[in-house]
Amino acid sequence: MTDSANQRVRTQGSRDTDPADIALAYRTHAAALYRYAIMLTADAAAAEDAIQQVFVKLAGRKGLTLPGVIEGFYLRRAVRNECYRILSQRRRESAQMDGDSILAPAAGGSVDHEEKAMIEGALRRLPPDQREVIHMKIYEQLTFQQIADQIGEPINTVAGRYRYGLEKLRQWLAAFQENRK
Amino acid sequence: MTNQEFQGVEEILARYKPTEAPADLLRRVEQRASYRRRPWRELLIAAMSAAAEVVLAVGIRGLITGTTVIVLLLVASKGY
Repeated sequence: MTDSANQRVRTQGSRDTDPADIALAYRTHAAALYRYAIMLTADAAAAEDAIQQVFVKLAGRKGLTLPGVIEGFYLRRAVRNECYRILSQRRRESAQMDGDSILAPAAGGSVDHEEKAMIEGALRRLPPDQREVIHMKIYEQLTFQQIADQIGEPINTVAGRYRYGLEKLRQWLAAFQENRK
Repeated sequence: MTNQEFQGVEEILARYKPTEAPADLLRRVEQRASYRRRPWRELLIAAMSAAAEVVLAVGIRGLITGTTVIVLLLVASKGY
């Protein structure tokens, strides 16, 4: 995320944020933000909480202007912060994840349920920052530079997280396929 | 890890996609946002709920007391 993008979030006096702006921001960004949140937290309930919190806080902000509200970078950063806050709270409370499915088949046709469950389990075992980069690279098809800009980390860190994450997934997948034989 | 191995994992992951947001999430967000804009509404609901509990508790207690008094009066009137 660029700083200039963040700076576009402007406030105008003490006027309440227009509910229509919130609804527009939700319609424009919520689906993608939810997919991002569920991969970052690996937990459907946490993802829902994060999305709700961000949009409810947005509604409570005074005088947020439309360009600011619909600015995806701003919302992504807000959802990211909320997800990490929830993850940190759950770690402190040693709370269990809800176990709901975080993946769906990309296309129609038969699903290998065993493989899907294995991949979900493997993704849950990865650190959130590696899951985040894998999501942005594979499912949002962003470049490492774009990911680095959005999460505010150096490109080498981003590429490293992706490589380590994929390496672990490869090992777990190999073990899974070996056990299946 | 070779490029081929990388691509293999990427291809497996690409067979799936993150699950979509529940259809009623927007309704819940709007509901909570609307409560946030109107905190009095939340207070009113909480106050009404507390009042209903008190009325129910007093009612039940009154019913029990009334029944007990009637039974005692009946017993007394029969001279047991």
